[in-house]
Amino acid sequence: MRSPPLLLGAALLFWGWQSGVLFLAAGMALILEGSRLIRFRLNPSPSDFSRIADLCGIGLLVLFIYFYASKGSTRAILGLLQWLPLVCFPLLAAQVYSTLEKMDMAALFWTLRRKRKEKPLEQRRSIDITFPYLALSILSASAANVRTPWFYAGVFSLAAWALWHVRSRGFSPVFWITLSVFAGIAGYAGHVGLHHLQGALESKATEWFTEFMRKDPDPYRVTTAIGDVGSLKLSDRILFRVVPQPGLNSPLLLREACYNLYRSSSWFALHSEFRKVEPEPDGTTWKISAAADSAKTLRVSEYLRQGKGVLKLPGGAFEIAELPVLKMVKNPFGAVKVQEGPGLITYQIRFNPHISSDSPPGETDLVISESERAFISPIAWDLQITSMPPQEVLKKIYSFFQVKFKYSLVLNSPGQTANPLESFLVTSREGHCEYFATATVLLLRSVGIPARYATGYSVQERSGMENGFIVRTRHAHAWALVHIEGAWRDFDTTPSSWFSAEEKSSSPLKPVYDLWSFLTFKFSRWHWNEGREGASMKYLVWFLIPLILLLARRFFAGSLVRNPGRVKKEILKVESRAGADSEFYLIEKRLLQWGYERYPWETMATWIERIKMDAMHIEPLLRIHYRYRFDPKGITATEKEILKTGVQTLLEDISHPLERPGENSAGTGSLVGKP
Amino acid sequence: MARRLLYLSFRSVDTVKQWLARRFTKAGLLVLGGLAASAVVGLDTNQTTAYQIFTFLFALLLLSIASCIFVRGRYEAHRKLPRFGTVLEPLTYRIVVQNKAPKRQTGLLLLENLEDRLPSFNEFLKTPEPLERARNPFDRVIGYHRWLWLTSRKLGAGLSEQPLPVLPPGGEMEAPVEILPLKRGPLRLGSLTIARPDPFGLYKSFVTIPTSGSILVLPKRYPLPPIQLPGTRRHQPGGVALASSVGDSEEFLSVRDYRPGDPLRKIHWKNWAKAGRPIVKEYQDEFFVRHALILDTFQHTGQTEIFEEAVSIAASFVSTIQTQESLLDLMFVGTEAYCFTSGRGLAHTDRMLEILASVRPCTDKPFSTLHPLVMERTSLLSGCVCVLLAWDEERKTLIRHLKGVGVPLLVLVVAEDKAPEPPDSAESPLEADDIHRLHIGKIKEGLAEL
Repeated sequence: MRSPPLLLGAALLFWGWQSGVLFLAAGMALILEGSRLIRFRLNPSPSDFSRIADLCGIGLLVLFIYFYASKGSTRAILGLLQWLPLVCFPLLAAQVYSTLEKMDMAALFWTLRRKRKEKPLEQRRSIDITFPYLALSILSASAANVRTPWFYAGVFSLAAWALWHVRSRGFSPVFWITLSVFAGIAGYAGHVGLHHLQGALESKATEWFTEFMRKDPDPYRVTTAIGDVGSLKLSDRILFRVVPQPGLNSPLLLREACYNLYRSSSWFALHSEFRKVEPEPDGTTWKISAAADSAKTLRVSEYLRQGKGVLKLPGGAFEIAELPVLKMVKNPFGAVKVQEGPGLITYQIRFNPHISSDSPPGETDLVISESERAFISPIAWDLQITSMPPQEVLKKIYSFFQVKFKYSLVLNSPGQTANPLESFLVTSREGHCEYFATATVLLLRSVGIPARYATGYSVQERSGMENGFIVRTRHAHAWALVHIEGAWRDFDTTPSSWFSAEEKSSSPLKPVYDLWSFLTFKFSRWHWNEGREGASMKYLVWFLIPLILLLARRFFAGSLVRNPGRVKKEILKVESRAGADSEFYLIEKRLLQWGYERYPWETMATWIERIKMDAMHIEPLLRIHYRYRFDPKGITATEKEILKTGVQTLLEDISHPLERPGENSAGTGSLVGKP
Repeated sequence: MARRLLYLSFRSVDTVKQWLARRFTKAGLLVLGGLAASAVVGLDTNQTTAYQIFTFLFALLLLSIASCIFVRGRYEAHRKLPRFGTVLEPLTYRIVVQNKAPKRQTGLLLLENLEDRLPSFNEFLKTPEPLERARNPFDRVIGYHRWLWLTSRKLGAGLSEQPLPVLPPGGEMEAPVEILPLKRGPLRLGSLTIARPDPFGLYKSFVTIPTSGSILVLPKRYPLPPIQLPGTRRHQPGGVALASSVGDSEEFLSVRDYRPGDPLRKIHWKNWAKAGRPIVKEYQDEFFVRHALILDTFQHTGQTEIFEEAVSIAASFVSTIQTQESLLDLMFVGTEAYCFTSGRGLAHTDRMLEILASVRPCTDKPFSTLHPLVMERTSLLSGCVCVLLAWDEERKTLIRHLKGVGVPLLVLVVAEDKAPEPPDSAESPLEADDIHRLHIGKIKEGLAEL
């Protein structure tokens, strides 16, 4: 099957065009297609083909070594693939200019060559490599990775050209063309979808991996993304659920940890040793600071990893109730860690935002390194906050960030300035919450107001499925803690546009994911709060009722199937009684009494014959008994009477132990009747 | 358990291979290969654009297969089979196909289905490959070579797709089908499949017609030179029709092409000069001699090639001796004796060839069981052709005894190509002239030298 004219040349030109070697490919195409015009032919022997194949093999190896040395392993394979049409060209050229226009198959396979040596007379198999070469040219063109629509158009055209040549003649050309166009469109839609699918999968896999590697926040140190380049992508995964008391406004900041020293894009918590907190007598209430007169409440449900976790607490939290853990520790900066708890905890927090149990400000809460002071101080000076009262300073700084800065998840290069924070404050003026929080803390410190860096979550998204809020991974937040009026207060300067910016990055599959998360959460609540979760149990009952009904139906249906057999058996049992009252059984009973055992496999007739009972004219009685027993018509009353009388007579004859001449073993002797 | 797993995996791979080869056209297989290659190369859609080739080929194949589901025909077909075929000789028979659909059908292909194509688990377990001992331990444990050998042995015939003529609506056509029988014995043909390629010519839709048929494939036969067995006159119970006499006529019969082993004196020099290739003269035999044939089937080593050649040699004698005005009507095959005393007609030749077509090696009994069977009938023998699988003491004893009772013998021992010559000539009274060793691969030449 030779390829149609010019197809091979076109495929080579396509390869050359994609790979950037159009002139080389044109030359090769000319040589191949020229074979149709030139009558000159060679007569290569099979061994000549083998030599050419070996030559191509050596070329392949040399090229691979070259690519491997210059590009590395992955690129070497792709590079090699891209040049395969050139490497295999001598083989194809030899074929098209040979008299047979085919080549010996053994040239391509070492095993065949070896076999040929063993059996030289065996018939040789030839192969035409034009179509495989055509496929190779197209595949090699793909390795050039030229991502224009022309590539697909080229593939489609060449394939359609080749397929037209081998089409089934039983169908009309119009039908064929329609089907080809349809295949082309389907292939196009498929490859666009496939490419997007890979992108989505890659992103999801990264997310899963990040999630898998996620650890609870380190209360001693946090490394920010300040100075990183790229874009921040956080997932829609729901981390915990919050039900605040009615009237509590969002956004609410729930803190996990707090830090007091900034060095090279990282925050550290100095002097933050954890101390054990003892529970109240009920075992589930924990007082983490002195109680306040007025309090607000909040209920948080979160998962614990292997029973451990860091609690999410609002500023001024003083009591945590309904927390079923065995151990709790707290550091002076308000971070609370729990251990040995269940998989899911739901705890109630009582808090007063106007008080604070964190350690009072120290010297570290005012520290700014010299490198940061160099650009922070001029800004503070420009803002004219150096001699303002603290409340005014806060207002000024807040409006500074709200007005002159923009929230962005894109992490830009710091540019010429070495310090990314400087770049944020002076040049770009856009960044994410870590920039805002860090800059705020440092600005406050520069004017002598103690400040700390807090990390946690912003509670802002109301759940559509329950009365409460859901907090996702992308709601992770950082803000400043400022010490004014004798207490530490939350001070969040990140522009409020961050809510919408974060929302934009959410996945279109979010509703599905949220539903799944909600169901999992409900199940987990039931699982971890069994016996205490009345509402869940109620739902569970509703869920179980159809399940039980289904099982019952299956069970019942099963018994319906089995019932006919049982009924049939019973009927048979009843039927088996037919003739069971036959008097003949009395004879059997009597004979058994005298030791004439009947074997289980023996019929009555064979038994009678074995024990020589037939001498006593028992056969007519046995015949009537059989008919009574098995004949569907049964026996007449007369016959029954005969049976009865006959049996009576016979029973009288054998009313005493019978003589068993010559035999001692039971059931094997012969019955000779009454002496 | 491991063996069964291996067997199942070989079997499933074979089935998949067979399915691919039957269902896909050559172009379809190339597209399938392209699909696999583009899947590997295009695994990362950012590195190459091969994934675009993959999706296009995938769509193409899906459409091909889908179009086959909707385009089907209705047919009826039956075979017109001959009774016999011969191993490795193309056999042509006819198949009548009727189009039951109200539509003209073109481009149809016909495929034969063989029954019992793959070896059973028991066969795989218990039938070692002839040269298995020489294989390395890994090959012996895995048994792939054994599987290949068994499948090639089980394969009854080489089949190829046969194009069918255009079938008019409701019309009936007769198409010739050529197959190549690969082994002797009954060749069971199963259902017939009528295939129709899809519009792209990649995938075939199948309509299978349940039918069955059988052909008896006779062993391969070699041309034999006139056999000169010194016969003795004996009382023939069949009367004059079976009377035996010995002799050769010098009456010129014809000329034919030279075959390796033809004596030089038979070359017709003038005809060679005319034809440009060696030509020899053939002479007519005038008398016939009554021969018996002993085919040795006692083999323990499982060397099928030797056994098959022996059967072929025996079949050559059965089919040739009759035509040479000789008579061969007594045959010892394995532990059985077959006697055909129906006269000089050729009817019993078919029967004898049928027996030879179905003969299997006897692995559970020794050669000595043949001894009394032959000796009982020595009175009937006026000449005897023995085809032996080995030349050991047991066989020598039989030959010695036959010689002892004066039966003229032609002993043919089939041996491997490089087997050494028998070292018996010095001590045994057997005449070396009567014992011929025929080597695998050179049987034809060996027979011509007789």
